[in-house]
Amino acid sequence: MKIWTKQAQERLAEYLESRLRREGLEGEDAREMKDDLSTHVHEELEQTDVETIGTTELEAVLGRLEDGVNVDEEEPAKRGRGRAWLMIFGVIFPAGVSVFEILTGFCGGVFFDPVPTFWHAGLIMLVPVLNWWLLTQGRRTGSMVQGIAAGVSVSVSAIYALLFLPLLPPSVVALIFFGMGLLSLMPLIAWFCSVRISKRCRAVIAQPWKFRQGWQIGAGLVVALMLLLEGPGIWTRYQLSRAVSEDPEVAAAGVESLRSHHSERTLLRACYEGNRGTSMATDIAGWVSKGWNIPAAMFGRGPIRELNSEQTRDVFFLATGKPFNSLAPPRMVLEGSFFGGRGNAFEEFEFDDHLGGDAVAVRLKDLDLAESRLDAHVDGLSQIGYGEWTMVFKNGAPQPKEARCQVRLPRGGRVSRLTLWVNGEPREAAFSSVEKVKAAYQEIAVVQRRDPVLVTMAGPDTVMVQCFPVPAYGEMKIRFGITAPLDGERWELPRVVERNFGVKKGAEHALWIQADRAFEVSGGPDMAGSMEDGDGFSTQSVLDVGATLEERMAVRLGEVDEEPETVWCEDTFADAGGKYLERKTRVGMRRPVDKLVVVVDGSASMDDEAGYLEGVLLKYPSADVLIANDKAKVTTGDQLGDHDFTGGRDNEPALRKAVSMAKEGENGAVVWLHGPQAVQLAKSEALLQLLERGTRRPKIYDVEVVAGPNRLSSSLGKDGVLMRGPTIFDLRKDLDAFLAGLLSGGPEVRAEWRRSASPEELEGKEVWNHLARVWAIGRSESDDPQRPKIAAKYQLVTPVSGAVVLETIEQFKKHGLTPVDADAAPSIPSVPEPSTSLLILIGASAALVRRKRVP
Amino acid sequence: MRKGLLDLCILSALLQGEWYGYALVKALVGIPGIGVAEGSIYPLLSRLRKQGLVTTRLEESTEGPARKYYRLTETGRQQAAEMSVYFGSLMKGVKALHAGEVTAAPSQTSVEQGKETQS
Repeated sequence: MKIWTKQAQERLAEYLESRLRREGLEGEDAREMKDDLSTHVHEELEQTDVETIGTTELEAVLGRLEDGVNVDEEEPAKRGRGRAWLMIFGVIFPAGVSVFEILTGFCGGVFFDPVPTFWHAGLIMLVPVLNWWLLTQGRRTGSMVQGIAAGVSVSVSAIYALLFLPLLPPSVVALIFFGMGLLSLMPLIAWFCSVRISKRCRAVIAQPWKFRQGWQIGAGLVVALMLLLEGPGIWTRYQLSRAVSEDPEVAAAGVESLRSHHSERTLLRACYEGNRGTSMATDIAGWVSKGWNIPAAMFGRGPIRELNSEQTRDVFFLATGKPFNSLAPPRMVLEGSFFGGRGNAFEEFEFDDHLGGDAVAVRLKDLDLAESRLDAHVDGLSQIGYGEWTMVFKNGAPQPKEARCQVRLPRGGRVSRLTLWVNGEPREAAFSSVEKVKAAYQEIAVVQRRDPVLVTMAGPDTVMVQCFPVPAYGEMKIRFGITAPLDGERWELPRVVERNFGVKKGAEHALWIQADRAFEVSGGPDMAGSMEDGDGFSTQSVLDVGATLEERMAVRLGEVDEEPETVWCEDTFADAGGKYLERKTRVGMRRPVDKLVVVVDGSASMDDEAGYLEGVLLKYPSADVLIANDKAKVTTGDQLGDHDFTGGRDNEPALRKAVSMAKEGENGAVVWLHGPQAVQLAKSEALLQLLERGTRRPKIYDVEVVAGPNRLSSSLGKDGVLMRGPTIFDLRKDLDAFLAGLLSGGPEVRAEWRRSASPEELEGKEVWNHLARVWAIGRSESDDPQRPKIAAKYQLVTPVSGAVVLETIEQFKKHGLTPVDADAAPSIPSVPEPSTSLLILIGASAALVRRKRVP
Repeated sequence: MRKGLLDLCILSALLQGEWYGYALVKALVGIPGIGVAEGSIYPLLSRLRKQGLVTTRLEESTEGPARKYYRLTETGRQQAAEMSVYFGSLMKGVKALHAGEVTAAPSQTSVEQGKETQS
């Protein structure tokens, strides 16, 4: 008896298996054939001289077994027919369906996106390409290469067949009853064909063991690549499902896991799904977690469970520290390909569940700010500025959409004008109570789907602007004016803090600023300084909208009196008895804070600022420092840098503790340094109770270190318990000055108002009637029961009043509203405003000339 | 044709007596011009067995695995005889063609034409 090597034994076994598959034998026939061939091989090798049988000797015998005409081989015609079927269903059909999906996103817009990246597109296109190659050219290459190709093709098609398996029942039903649904069956058919092609290759391959090795390598590569592409997404989906769990412990663990590692792409995608999302479709990871709901629902195993969109968006903030709508919305399809990109209307239908609501909510695709213009006049004498922001929205979708944004106004500023262009004609707003204007907007915009625009307050010095409909493939133009007193020497420019629209590529922001004295513009992109322009100064810059929309910028006047002069104006809104309004100012000293607690937001957005904060806080060792990390962590200024700023953190518990600590002082204060608080993470009632009750009521100064929406601030601001801190342009300098002022008690300017029936009784200089609006701003936020009426009368958007523009006078009348006369609306003074004396001189000269001409 | 010829070869070989499978295969592929793969003869033997033309028996061997011997059944013997007659007459016809002893049969068309002429 000869000795057989292990390789030779394996090779013989493999050959016999391969031969049986090729002959199509099973059962008893297979066993008999195997015995006969095995006996033949052994018999022949026993007659050789060698003692040890290796693969070389064995291959010679096997070669003879195969050498010659195989009389029982499949007929060529039959083989040809099989090959034709494989070519149709394994090559042509999958190629066509893949290209169709890549170009149109047909499945991507309805169920899930099977080709979210170019990597996925490449993988699915490999199936028809490799199948074609194996059927035509493959036999000319080595066994290993063929094995790799077959392994890749079978495993890619198997993965996609599994992904599409939940659609099998509806596809079959659709195919039987409607003759449609073949597209979703394609991956399964492609997988079946790939397996057949792989088997055909292996049956006739010269070195089947190499083919097998290659097959395993190919399959391994595909699995590894899919894990690389989809692993993070699947992990994120799993943790997301834990993070929205009703069990608080599980939810907290899920959030912590997401903070340590997450796929932002997957989380963002999830924010646009669910019960308040914009589409039904999801990504591959989402489909893996919820796709089975479809057959389950079909067979009565429960309803299709949707994600809770609001909860998911909260988790997005908790995990990333960013508001979900601060990022461009995910597209279910790749951009920039055929049919004007895979983002056409058919694929990308969006449902805006927040139409007419109070939240900015989801960022809408294809809705962009196309043009932007800001004109501002800053008057150093009255220390008041007025600006008008014009926005043009463009909708690139076939459905009308609502543009919504929150705008941060200059400190103490209020919207005092609102204009909407209807058919090219400007229409002015009506100012009334919040309830009235919202009701009118709801009916006209949401029910009748006509042209209104609404502005209401959404937080401290923050307004919500919403207009509907920006027509399909059309534009909508609005303008709102802002009256605001100067903040020291500064007049901060309004900026967007949250929006549901994008910015059109290359869109410009035209900025015109004029003042009665020299000024410079700080923050944002570099701008030219002011130039002399008649009696005043002005500057113009055309900036990139994307770079300036959310930037903190301010006009700094050169020469501003610390104690403003006494000024007066004719109050056109007042009764005759008090038509002239005088403002006298008095500088007093603010009481120093004896107990200062600084709360530092522990969110990821503050990470970059931690070093600067540490530098400033070290100067104030008497201040207590708390880090808001969902709880309240007591720390010191020098340990701030050691904190791990991750995710989005709930600041309410830390603020509550800080208020309690600040109550220890006679005049305590809390300085809250924070980034975006994009979601209402906790109930604020306990905090409000602390602030509203007791004899000691510390103030909370809200200092926005990193710009962004702030829900907690909005809810506290409505009750007037939150004071707006300094606007931060230079963190070290501005914060240092603010803290020093609080602790030492700096000067404080207080206004004293007086009314008169005639100007002769008044002191000081005459200024524009925005002075009257500044008076009204103060009154409308006092305890005056008449404040809604005062706000509406002076055309102001305040916490108790709003502004709405409707399309027709009839609509205004129906809702009991009266629009502002365009002549009575504020405007930017002519540039630069001629002095009163000059106007008198011009008027007198004209009169003289006329008199001379009269015969 | 080739399959039928191989069947005849196998049955003819077994007419002489019992054959060991390996030896039978080697003998068959040794026939000049037959050009058949060794591995494809075993399926034929299996088919003949299933048709009841041959029977098999196993015999232990000291030199390797048990040997399978093939033997004709009575049916196989008759089948071999019939095939041999058929093949003999076939060969006779081929030889006659080769010698030019066979004339071409009249075609159907020319017969029809003849009938029309007579009428």
